[in-house]
Amino acid sequence: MKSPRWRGWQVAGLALLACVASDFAIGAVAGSAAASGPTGRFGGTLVVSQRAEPRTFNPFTALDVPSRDAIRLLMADLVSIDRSDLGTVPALAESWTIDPDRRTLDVVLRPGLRFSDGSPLTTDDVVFSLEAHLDPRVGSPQRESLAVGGRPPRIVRLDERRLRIELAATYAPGERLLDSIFVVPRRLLEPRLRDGSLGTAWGPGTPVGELVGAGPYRLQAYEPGKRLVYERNPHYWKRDEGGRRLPFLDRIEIRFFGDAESEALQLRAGQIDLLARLPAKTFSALQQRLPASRYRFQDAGPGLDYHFLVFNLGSGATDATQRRRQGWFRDPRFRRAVSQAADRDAIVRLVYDGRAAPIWQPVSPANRPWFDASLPRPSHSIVAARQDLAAAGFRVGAEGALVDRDGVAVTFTLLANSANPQHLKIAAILTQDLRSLGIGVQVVPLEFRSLLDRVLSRRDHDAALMALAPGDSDPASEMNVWLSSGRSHVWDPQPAQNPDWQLEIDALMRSQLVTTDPRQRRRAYQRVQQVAQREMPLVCLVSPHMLTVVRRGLRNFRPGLLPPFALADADVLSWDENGTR
Amino acid sequence: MSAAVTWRRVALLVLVATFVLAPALSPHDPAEQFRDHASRPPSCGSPCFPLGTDELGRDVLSRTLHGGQLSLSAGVGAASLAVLLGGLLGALAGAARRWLDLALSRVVDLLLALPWIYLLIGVRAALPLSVPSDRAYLLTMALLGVLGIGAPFRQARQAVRAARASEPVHAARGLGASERYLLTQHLLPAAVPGLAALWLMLVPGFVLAEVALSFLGLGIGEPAVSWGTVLAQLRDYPVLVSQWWMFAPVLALVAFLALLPVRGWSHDPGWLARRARLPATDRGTHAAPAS
Repeated sequence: MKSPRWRGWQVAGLALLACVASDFAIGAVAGSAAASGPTGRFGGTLVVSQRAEPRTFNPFTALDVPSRDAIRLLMADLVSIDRSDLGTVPALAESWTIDPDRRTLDVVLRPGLRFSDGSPLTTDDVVFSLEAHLDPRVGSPQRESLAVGGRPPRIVRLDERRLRIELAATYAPGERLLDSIFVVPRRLLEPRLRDGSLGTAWGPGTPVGELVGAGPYRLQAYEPGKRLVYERNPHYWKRDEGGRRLPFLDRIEIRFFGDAESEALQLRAGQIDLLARLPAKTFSALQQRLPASRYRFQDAGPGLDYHFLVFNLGSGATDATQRRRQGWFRDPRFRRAVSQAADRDAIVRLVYDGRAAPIWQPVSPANRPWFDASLPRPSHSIVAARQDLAAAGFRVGAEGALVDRDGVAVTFTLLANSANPQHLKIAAILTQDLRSLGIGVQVVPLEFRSLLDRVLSRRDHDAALMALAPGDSDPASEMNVWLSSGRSHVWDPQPAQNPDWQLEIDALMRSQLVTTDPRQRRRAYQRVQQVAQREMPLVCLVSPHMLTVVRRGLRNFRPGLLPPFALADADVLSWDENGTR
Repeated sequence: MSAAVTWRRVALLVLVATFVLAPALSPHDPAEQFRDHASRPPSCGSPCFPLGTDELGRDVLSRTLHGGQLSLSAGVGAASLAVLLGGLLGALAGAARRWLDLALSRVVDLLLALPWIYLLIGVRAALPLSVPSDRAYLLTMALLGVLGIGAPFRQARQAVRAARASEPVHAARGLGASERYLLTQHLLPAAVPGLAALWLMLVPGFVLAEVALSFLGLGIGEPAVSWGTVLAQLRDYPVLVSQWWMFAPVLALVAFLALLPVRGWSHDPGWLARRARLPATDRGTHAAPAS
């Protein structure tokens, strides 16, 4: 399972998702390279922007999105998840097979693979890279994902091009496990693994010539605070339709700008060619101001992110006020009333300019293979909310304030990320909506890390407005959210006692992970969505659209649903003759 | 006093009175959302929005008036607290023995060296969350005031040290005056004119600090409104480039800062001393620009 990346803002999306073929096959499955390559024109430079600098170039320890995006241009994995259609595609692996139990993966490497410094890439490097991820001294965040069933897999080198990965337990998502497990040269990093310093290798100060991978680009220059410059890797494995080595572009330049507004201004000034995951209102404003003859505006529909209100359902508060409030929050009728009162259409219209999908379950409609479209979508209704509250023993007291059975006025604080203007606006809308019920809400804007600390560690909050960006469309990536023991179990991170519905979710999530029948998996995850909608541990609100602006002339561009959103297909991007920078 | 100065003071009084009377003058509740009238330019149909509405349909005039009330009172309150606390500690350091002076001065140096915005973020993150709006307001004001004691401290310390070496103090000491008498009758009064001038100079800074804090989303949360929370919406590129009426709090803020007679009064630090009928020997002798 992969950790979902927490973000207070920024979204991704694509309306039409193809079914993930590998998830719906029965029995032994296999994948292999496509026969024909992409077409394009060689040469040119692409300039994109990023809001933060990479903290490291170490593929084993990189956790943050900027670092992982920077590394993805330099490195390659065996099998990749296609960032647009979310299926699996072969990368360094020419083909693979999985046994019917989904415990053994046999992988065959492409012939003649080379790293960016020209040295050969063999199964020795692959085995080393997997073992490095599993070494506890390295501190790889993917170690937990690879240790399916709680034990590390057995990795067997069969020959120069073939290896076998034997998992300790059945893993239903199969080869998706290998996405983003980047292969590094053994001869360069083995000494660092031996002396226990691999976790600190390839930091941001590393000379660019020492960073060697099998990705489409090599790092040419890193100017901290300013830009990253990549040049094409002449040894990259992928070829175009005519058999010539990709990538098409000579250079990619990533410039650093702190926020979406600066990026928009730079785009207007012609300084950057491509902007992905734009805030909806900025997208609309740029659409009005930039000439359509020079820029292409793409609204690809909802992304995988979902934004929600979460109450603190814990029970161990020492403070009497918090204990009383947790009592209100633990009543599902209270949570349902809040959900009924939340005007999702107003949020979509006023905050996202209509470019978001209202949601009632913790799966975005963009995630078509897993989204349960049959679940009800109750409309905004203050009357229905009042009925739920009355059934739970709340009543309207003096001056229209809602009071509980003891006559205590119902008020709570709502945490929101202070750097996320969309969330602050949603909080203001919810404040007014809940005021209609007589509930007093005080919004507390907090710096994002403080907010996470409050929700996951200190747990002294009432409610929070948050977003989740799944690391994959597969429910396996949501294990740490839905399992009561998960590290991102935001409604009750360390439960003293689980209610029945949570125990049912635990059982369903564990069963879908080891069920090899895709239809049973789908049924199990749909049941999770049904329970989640009935019990509302998360009051799901919206899934914003994936919005992109691209300078015309850039070919083969597809916005990614997973990071890297802008450079999902960096190896096949190319400029038309007129578009070359 | 020239006519221009008189008019300026009258205008300032009117401006401040407008913000004080915000609840009576505002056409709408500043938190009320007219969702079908979002992002409207100024118009007076039904309902009437003389300064337009923001992205959630809230009346900008009502928000500017209520925001002014909060931002100005927080700024004035924080400046007063800083001058009072900093002045007292500075006077104590100026009059006290060397070790106490040194200890207090180092603490204040540390406060001056710390980047206040990060300190405020840290303190805010450590505070309990369930703080009602009125307490959050007082807390923000107190934090700004405590973190701003550096300049008044130095001002008062310098003034008191200079007064200690002055002839009247030597004469009083020669005539057998006690330390307490010296402190209350000579040393503290010597610091007052400079602090008064400094207070006027600090008020705009503290108002701006509150606005900055709320602009960054770290002030008092919704439903309370400050100029900073209104201006924060200008961080959105589309609002910045197309909704000119959202700049209303900027105009109010500029008007307030322009009307504050900081320059004239700070160049005449004896003004308050004359009004307060302070001893002639101490009048305006130690005014110095704040560091």
